[in-house]
Amino acid sequence: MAAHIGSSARSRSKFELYMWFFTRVSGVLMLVLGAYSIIYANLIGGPGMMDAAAQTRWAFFPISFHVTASKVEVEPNFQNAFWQFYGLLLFLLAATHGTNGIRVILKDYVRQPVLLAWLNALLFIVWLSMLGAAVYLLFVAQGVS
Amino acid sequence: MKVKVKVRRFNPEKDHRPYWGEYQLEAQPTDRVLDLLVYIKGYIDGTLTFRRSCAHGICGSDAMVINGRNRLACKELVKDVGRTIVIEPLRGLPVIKDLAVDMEPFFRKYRSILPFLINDEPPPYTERLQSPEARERFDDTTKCILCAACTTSCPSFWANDSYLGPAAIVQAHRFIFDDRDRGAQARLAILAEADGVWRCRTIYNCVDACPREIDITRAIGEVKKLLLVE
Ligand code: FES
Repeated sequence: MAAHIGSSARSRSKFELYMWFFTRVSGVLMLVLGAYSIIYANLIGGPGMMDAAAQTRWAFFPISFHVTASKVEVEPNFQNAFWQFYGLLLFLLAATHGTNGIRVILKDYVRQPVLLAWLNALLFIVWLSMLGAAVYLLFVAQGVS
Repeated sequence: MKVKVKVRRFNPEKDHRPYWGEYQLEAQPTDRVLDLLVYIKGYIDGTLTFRRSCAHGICGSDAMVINGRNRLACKELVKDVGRTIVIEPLRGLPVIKDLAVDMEPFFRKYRSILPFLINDEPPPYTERLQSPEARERFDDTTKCILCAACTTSCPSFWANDSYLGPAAIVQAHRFIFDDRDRGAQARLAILAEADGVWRCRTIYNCVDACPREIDITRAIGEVKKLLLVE
C-alpha cells in the first residue's frame, strides 16, 4: 500500500540498524559478564590473593596470566576452556563495541570519502589484529588445558 | 531596567566577516527578547534583520541562539535571560543577513520524509475516524512548529549536514504512528538510511532546544525501535 511513494533507489542495508542494536546489547552484556567474572574470582580466593589491579584486569579480560602473578591457584580454577571462551567472548564484545564507536565518530567527522574509506580499512585491520592477539593469548600462549 | 543586547551582525553585501552589534536599552523584566529586537530595529538601527511573524510561539519564525541556547525570541522573557543578552543566528544553516538564516536545507529534509497523509484506500462516506487513544499515540510530535531550533542545536547535524535532523524525524514520527496513514514503510526506508535515525547519538540538545517541549529524543528512539522489530 502506497509503497511506491518515495521508493527511489535506496540502500536497503541493515548494517547501521544491527550495529545500533549490537551496541546496546553488548554494552549490557559486557557489564554482566564482567560482574560475573569478578565475583567468581573473588569467590575462588581473590581477596588477599589478587590486588585491585589484577581484579580489574580479570574482570574484563579473564585470562589466567592475570592471576598467575598472584597466589591464586590457576590450575583447576581458571585455566580451562570455559574461561578461555568466556574471555574471548568478552574481548570480542568489547573490541567490536569500541571499534564501532570509532567508526561512527569517523563517519561524523571525516568528510572526504576516500580518506574515510582508508581510515575504515585501517580501523578494520586494527580490529582484526586485536582479535588475533586475543586469540593468541587465550588459546596459544595460555595453552588449551 | 537597563539591558545590553549584543547581536551577531552580518551583511554579505558589505561585511567580510560577522561582527557584534551592541545596543543599550531600557526594558521591562516582562519584555520578550523579540520586543528588544523590534525596538532596536525601530529606534536604533533599522538595518537589523530578523524574522518574526506571529510573536506568540506558533509560527516558528524567530528561532535564534539566545545566550548560547536555541530559543524563540518571542517566548523568552528578559527576566529569564539576564541583563546582558547575546543573540546569534541559528548554527548550521547559512546566514542570509544578521539573524535570518537560509531555511531551505532544513525544509528540503522536511519534505524528504513525505510529510503528508498517505492513504490510497477508498475514502469512507464521512471522515476517517480515529479513536482518542490512537490520536494520543502521536500527540507529542504533532506539536512541532518547524522552527528548526532542534535540528540546529544538534552536534550530529553540525558535524554532518547530510543528517536528516531531529525535526524531520519528529515529523516522520507524527505520520508513522498515525493509524490512518499507510506510508510508514516508505518513510521508515528513508529513516533507516545511513543519514537517517542512526546519526542520532542521543545527545538531548534537541529536547532542551524545543520551544514546544516535545520529547524529541524519545520520538527518535521509538522510530529506532520500530525499525528493529520491522
Ligand atoms: S514569531 Fe512566531 S514563533 Fe516566534
